[in-house]
Amino acid sequence: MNSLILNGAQNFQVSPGAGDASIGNAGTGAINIVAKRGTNPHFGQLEGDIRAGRFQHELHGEYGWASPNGRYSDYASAFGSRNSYHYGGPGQDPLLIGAQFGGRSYDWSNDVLNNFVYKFGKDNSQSFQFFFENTQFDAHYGSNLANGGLGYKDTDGFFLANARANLGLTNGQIQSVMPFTYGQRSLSDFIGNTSDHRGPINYNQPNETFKLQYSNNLNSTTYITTKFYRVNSVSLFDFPYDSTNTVFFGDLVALQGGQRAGIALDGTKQMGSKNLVGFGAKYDFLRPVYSQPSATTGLSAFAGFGNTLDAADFFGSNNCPYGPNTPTYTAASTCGYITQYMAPHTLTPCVTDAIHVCAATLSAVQLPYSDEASHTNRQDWALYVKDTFSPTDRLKFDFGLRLDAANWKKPDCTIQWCAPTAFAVDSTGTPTSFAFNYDQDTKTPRVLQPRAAVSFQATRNDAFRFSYGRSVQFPAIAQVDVTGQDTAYGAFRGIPSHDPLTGSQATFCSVAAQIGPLSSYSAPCASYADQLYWENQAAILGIPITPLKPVTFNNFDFSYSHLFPHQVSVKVTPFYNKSYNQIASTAQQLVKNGVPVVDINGNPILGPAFNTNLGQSKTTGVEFFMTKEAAYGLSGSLSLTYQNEISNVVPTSPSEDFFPSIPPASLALGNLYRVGFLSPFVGTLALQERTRTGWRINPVIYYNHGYPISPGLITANYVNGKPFNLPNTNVTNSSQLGAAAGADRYVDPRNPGTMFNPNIDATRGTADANSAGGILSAARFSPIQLTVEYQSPKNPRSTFGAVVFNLFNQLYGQPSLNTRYQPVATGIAGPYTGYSSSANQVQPTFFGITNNYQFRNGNMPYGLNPSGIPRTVQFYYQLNL
Amino acid sequence: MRAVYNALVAAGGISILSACTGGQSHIEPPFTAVNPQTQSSLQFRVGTANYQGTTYLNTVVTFRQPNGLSATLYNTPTITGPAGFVNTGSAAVAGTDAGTNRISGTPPTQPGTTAVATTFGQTGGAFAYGFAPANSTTGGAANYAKTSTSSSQIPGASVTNAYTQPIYLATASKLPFMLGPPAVPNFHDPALGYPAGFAGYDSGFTMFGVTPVVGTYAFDLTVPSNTIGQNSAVFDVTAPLTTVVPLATLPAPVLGGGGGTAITVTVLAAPLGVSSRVIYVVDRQGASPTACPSGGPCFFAINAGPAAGTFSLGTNFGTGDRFYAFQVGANFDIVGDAVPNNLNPLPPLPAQTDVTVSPLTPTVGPVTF
Repeated sequence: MNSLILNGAQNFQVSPGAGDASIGNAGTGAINIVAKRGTNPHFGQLEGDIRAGRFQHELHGEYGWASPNGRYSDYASAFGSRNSYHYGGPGQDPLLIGAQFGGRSYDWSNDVLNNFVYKFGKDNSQSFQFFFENTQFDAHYGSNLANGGLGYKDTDGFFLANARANLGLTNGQIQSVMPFTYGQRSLSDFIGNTSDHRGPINYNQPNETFKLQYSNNLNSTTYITTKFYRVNSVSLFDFPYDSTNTVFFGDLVALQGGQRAGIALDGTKQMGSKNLVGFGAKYDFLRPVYSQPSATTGLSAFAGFGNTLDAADFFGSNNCPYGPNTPTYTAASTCGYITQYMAPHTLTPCVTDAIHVCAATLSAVQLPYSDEASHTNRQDWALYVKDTFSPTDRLKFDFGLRLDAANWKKPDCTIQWCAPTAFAVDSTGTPTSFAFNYDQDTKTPRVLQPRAAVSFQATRNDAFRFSYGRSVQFPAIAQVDVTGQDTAYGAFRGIPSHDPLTGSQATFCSVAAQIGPLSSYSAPCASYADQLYWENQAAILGIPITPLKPVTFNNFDFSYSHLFPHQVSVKVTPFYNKSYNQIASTAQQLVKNGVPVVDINGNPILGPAFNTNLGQSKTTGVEFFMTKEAAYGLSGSLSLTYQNEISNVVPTSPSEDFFPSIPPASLALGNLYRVGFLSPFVGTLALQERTRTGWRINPVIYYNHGYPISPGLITANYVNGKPFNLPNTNVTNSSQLGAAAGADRYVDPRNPGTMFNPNIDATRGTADANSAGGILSAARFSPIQLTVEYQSPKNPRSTFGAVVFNLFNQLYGQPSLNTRYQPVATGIAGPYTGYSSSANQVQPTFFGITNNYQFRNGNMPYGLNPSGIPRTVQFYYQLNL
Repeated sequence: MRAVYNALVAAGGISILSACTGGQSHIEPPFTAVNPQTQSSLQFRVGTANYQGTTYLNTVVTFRQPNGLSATLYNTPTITGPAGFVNTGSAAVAGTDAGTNRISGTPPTQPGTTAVATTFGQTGGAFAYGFAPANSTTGGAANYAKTSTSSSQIPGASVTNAYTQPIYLATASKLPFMLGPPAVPNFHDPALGYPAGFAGYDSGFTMFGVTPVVGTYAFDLTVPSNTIGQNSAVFDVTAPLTTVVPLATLPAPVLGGGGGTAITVTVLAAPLGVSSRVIYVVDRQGASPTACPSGGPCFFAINAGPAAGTFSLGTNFGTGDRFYAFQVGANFDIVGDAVPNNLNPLPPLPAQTDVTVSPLTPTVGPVTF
């Protein structure tokens, strides 16, 4: 309903469910954006936008033309935006409301697009099309830092405090052995001042797409196209001061993305008067690009969180920080191994000031970065055929069959890549062999997908449609491949492995080291580089390769539509969708010598958690859609959707719909839940009043009936090795769900009762239901957008308008269970609620992540984050060329 | 223009509706709160503690909801002694209480400021049956008494989230007074589902390594609200100490058994004035799946009564178990008033609560079965 330019888009084709057979990798729906083309007569528009309240400038332009004979046409558009958010009310300090996304931020984006078509041949029956689009988005978060900026993490007092506590090193020892963050030049270096515009968090996200297409109307009944396309998108995430002061990923400089290139052929053939046949094929090649060096993570991985204590090797023997008081240190422990091969250096110390904490540095070799990579590529290909059969004017059938396939180009499973599905041991219990019986569909899946639909025009005003389709989604490469960066440790390739705790060659260079009962398996490290690689794998990344099958869906929908008088139409669409082999992380029972492994009480022994195909979901719902069309006067649309999606992922759990994790006990019990990321009832009302005097008023109102928020009265966990559905308390809530912090009921600490029958001493005083997510947040109308526009009937070339986004300035997002809740008595939160032990551990000049929870309603049972974009008024002027 | 006017009126109507919910407080889910001032029952007593021949100050506190559970999960207690009472605890453990007439805790302080060091600090509070360093934190974890796995061989350091006593004494001189089976249900059996590492129930009394004086002891207890400096409940009671003559000294119990026979403990008749007696037996290192799983010490307690006798802990132990024991006599029913046996919001207590603690029985074991 909004007339603002969406750069280069002619229209959107929304395909609910599986769509027809020409649509692949659709999951439960697809959106196809059709690009504009040039026409004769030409058209064009210029638009300028200025936003009030916060800074934003935008400039849009488009122009399309075609030669009179239609042989040449071109469409070009450009878009530029400069934007700076400052959260909170005008003049308000964003830190006081704890802004999540930005606080003080600046971002800019540019987009250019060109769509050229050359037609030739008899009656212009053939054509070449060249489509190109380049988008660039950049952002700096945490702009205008006070006190001259921030020190890098190795001189940040809050990070150093955490690192000291976790690693047992002093400031000087940390600064001596921790690598510099990418781009850091010295201990005295800093970020975010006027001479160095590197902000604490910086995004650089380019995306380039092109397509070269040849089309041919072979005859009046046959049409084919073939195309070559390529998408190149590798984003830079430059976070020298990321997040809070966790010891992992306190900094990172990541390249993420990749390239997809492919060819495709599509054709249609009219067979008689009743059959329109379509067919096609495509081939894609995917090459991911992934790198994520992190200095803080490197320090943690190699100085205490891995299999051994590599950091000892990086200090000279004359200033070894480890000794008898180090818990894992042994009599065989020594320092100074790496310093025999690499010259240790003493960094120039910094000077302590407002943003640096400095100490005398020692002679040492800096540790390498913790880094990640991808060792996997993928070929995707597909074939399809479809037929539209129209036996009468009122009845239409669509049949189709599609084959989607993938060839995973990943390392073959060995104990150096994959978790074994079973293993054998000798008489001493030492693992001797491993089996990797992963399904063939994890390597070369071939998924056949029937599609069918029938449409019936019962009367002039009534129509019915039913469709069924099977569809598929292949796992993202990032879900399969979590491997380390080989080159990160290249400098150590020629150095023999050395475990500083034993003084001997390290033997943990395999996946077995991460699986408790297999940890005695000896996998000697070929070199010190190999040792560091596996140290990082064990401490940070986990299982390198997780073979996964594709996720498949069965989609059913039925619709009835009716056209009322006055151009009012209504459509009702019930739908059902069920998925198979959904991806979710969980731990599974180990298999030894062909027999599932159990403990002395007969209870299953689980391996480490990693991605599996054990997730499942199904969705039922009904959509109501009403439109009223009118050239002048009132028009609009109303959509209402009731949806009920059931999944075996526990709702409200972290990363529920991103990288879901299922508590093993819940999986073992077969528990199903209503998902937490969907509101069961949502609606959108878009109205438009257009007057003959040139005014257009267009409010758009969104409604949701609330989102699932409650932790539930029942939770799954193990008692004595057996899974049970238990009363959910701060004792029984599993670690995947936040442990004690993820519960809202608290046992008496002096008389806790049992996990089956706990003595509940206090609750948060909020409503809860048996299942997690059983209580919804308050229903809301949000956000609301209003457009007021004027175009003089006497001068239709010019249009003036204003768009108010977030009309009622609703800043706060949906409530979520406060994970820093201090229970005192039922309904009484303690004074430290919302406050963490690392409170104020973030530099107060940072871009809004703050522990001042009281300022943002954080001393309550549920936390509320002011994550919404504030109300803005955007003024625009459009000139039709 | 009329259409414009109508549309703006419609939009304005929405604005008015929204204005009724200004501040967006409506999106915080509603909650209800109890009133700890009216629903809580507090008792406080003082007495003498004959600790292996030395007389110290003993206290008993009960702070319960109507259902007998702990009244709150966080509170700040302060004991103020009568004239002549001096807290002789060292500054290292008594903090600013040292040299004063107080044994106190530290109320919540503004985040980022250093809390004043006191005897209870900000971790110590009064619960259903005794003091414990178990005040809640923002992590929400259940601070039940847990066996210590790092220092399990040292009695004075064998339990966390519970005070080993007498407070102010050196660790090597203190004992753990955790009630275990058979005085309470057998929480050592993993199949019963007690929380991981649960060490046992409190004995109600808390001894301080200071000299008691006759007089009235004031007890103040505050329950915080979610705002620092404001309390949701305040309690002030007093307790008299009419005599500092302690109960008679108890000898150490005698441990026996092992080698295939039941573990036993034998005690003589308790001296006059002791109406209740508990024999505490500790398995230093567990080796039995149901009686005392491996991983830490296990606490047992026998509600023995004042008469002489020999009591058995059975044969469910494993080879390698090692035991020590001690006994406590009192003029109140230690086990009878304890949770989970007694959920009366006001369990019966005499006006003055005296205890006497025996020396430790030398370790027996490792036993074989």
